[in-house]
Order: sequence, then C-alpha cells, then structure tokens
Amino acid sequence: MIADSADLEFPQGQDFTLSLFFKSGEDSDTNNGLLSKGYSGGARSSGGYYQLQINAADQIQLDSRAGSGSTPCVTTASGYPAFTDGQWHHVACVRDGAAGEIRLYVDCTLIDTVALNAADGGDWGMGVNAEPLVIGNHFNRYTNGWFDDVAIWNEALSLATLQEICAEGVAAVANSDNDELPDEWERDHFRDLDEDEFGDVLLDNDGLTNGEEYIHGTDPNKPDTDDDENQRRRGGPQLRDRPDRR
Amino acid sequence: MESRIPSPAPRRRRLFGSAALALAVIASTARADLVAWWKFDEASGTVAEDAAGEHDAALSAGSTFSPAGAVLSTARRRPMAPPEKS
Repeated sequence: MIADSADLEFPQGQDFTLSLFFKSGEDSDTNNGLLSKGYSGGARSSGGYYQLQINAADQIQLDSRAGSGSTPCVTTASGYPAFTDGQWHHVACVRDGAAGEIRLYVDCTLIDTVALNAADGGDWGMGVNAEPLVIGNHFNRYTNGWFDDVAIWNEALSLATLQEICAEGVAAVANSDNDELPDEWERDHFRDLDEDEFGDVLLDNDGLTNGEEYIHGTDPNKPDTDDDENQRRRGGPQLRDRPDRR
Repeated sequence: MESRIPSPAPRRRRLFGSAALALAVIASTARADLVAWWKFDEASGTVAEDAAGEHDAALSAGSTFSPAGAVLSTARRRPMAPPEKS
C-alpha cells in the first residue's frame, strides 16, 4: 500500500503509463486487482478510480470510473488468454492524449485501444482522490502471485520504450536524475549518476559527449572509440577520424 | 531484474549520425517522467522503496520479498463473495 499522493493521480488531460510484471500464484480471488487507486477497499471513491485487474475470465483489463456511480466507465477489452498461467507477464496501460486513446498491452502486444471520450473512454480524472495506491487488491479481492518492477509515469510511453522494459526491465529506461542518460547506462560506465549528456567523462579525448556515446552504443571511457588505433583526434572527433599512420 | 519476457531482436547500433539527431533520439527513449518505481529488490523487511520518488510501499500481511527480486503476495481469500461487483 502506498500513501495517497498527487503524483499518483491523473487529472483529466494528464497522460500516464502504468507498468508491471506479474506471475500468478494459486487461489487468487475472482476479479482481483493488480494496481488500484480509489477502489481497493469496500467502495468506489467519489473522486473516481483506476485499476488494472484480472477479470473473471482470467484476462487483464483496465477499469476506471469517473466517480462512485456506474458511469462514466471505461473497461478495456482483455482478449489475452490465460493470464493466470503461472508465467511472468508484463502489463502496460497508456493514456495518450496526443493520440486520443488508451492502450493496453500484454508482453508489449497491443490488446485493446479505446478512443478517449468523456462518456466511456476514460477522458476524466483517474485516481484523483485521497485513497492509497494498492498493489494486489481490488474491492478486497486479493491477488496471489509475484509482482516485480511496478512503475508509473506521468506521460505516455512509446511502444519502443515498453519493448525495452519488457526485455530488460524498467532500469533500462529509468532516468531518475532527469538528464538524457538512462540510470543503468550511467551506473554501468561511471558507477554513479554524476555525469550528464553534455560531459565527456574522464576526458577520454574522443570528442564525443556522453550523450553521443550513449546513442552510438560506444564506451564513454574509451579513447579509441572506433578501434581505428587513432587515439589522438586528428582533425576531428572519433568516428570521423583516420587511422594512425604506421 | 532478470529478463522475464523473450527479448526482441537486439538493436544494432551504428557508428554514425549527427549529434542533434542523437540527442533527439535520446530524449524520446530515455527521458521519461517516472514518478514511482518499486523494484522489490529488498531482501527482507516490510517496506518496498520507491526508486523514483518518495512513495515507499508498505507490505501488507501475507506479502514478502522473494529471493527472485520480486514481492510475493499470498493474500487471504475472502470467505464469502462480496455483495457488489463492478
């Protein structure tokens, strides 16, 4: 359970992405929750709620209402068989205002797209209430299983980014210091998050910034980036220089 | 965390391209406003740290950290069906 916070609320017009890995256990309740804000206890919040849940057909879906009544309500189609198959799966739900839609993915496969609208399309404040965010419970229906790498963004992630998460986890794209370098890449090469994209760490003297090294997939600590045996930067940065004369 | 899902084909990175393009691509892939992230990598305890912010999660009774770097929920089942269904 996570205490209520404005960071976890999505007013109308606010994009978001919910992402988690889940492996089912045995004997979960029916219509159980994976991630819920505003409908984890005994009643729907008047401020509306959002939740990822496993429905009675053991399929994943997003469910959200604008208030405590029955409507407006959006429920994505599920369509993914046997979500409770005891295997790890990645789930992502994206509200994308620019595209005008909500998308639901399982293992980075698009399961459903809902056009945003105020009647039944999720174009309303979601989770804007004083309730906590709860993992593994909806309406006191509990989920047995394993959760990993649960994450929330206040923007719509692209499919390409979700595919990186599916393959390598959230660490592959997380950027907690808000520079242009993923945390994982910084730690792999620098052991900390002190560098940014504009630096040329340790003055490896190849003429490439850390940002350029990242996008090229090269080592920011290696002077001879392109392995042409020219480490002296004659006439320009690495990748555009010439081999040393012998 | 270890990879859970079969990986897509590895991306091939090529050694060319302008700096401006490079930074634009970085912005589209790496820069995300991550507001909360629970790795569940703790070895023990009842609090899962939020690696992105200040939204630590308190584990409920029946939930434990597993050696696989995840949290295992072995929550109770309700003894009776609830009176209302969404």
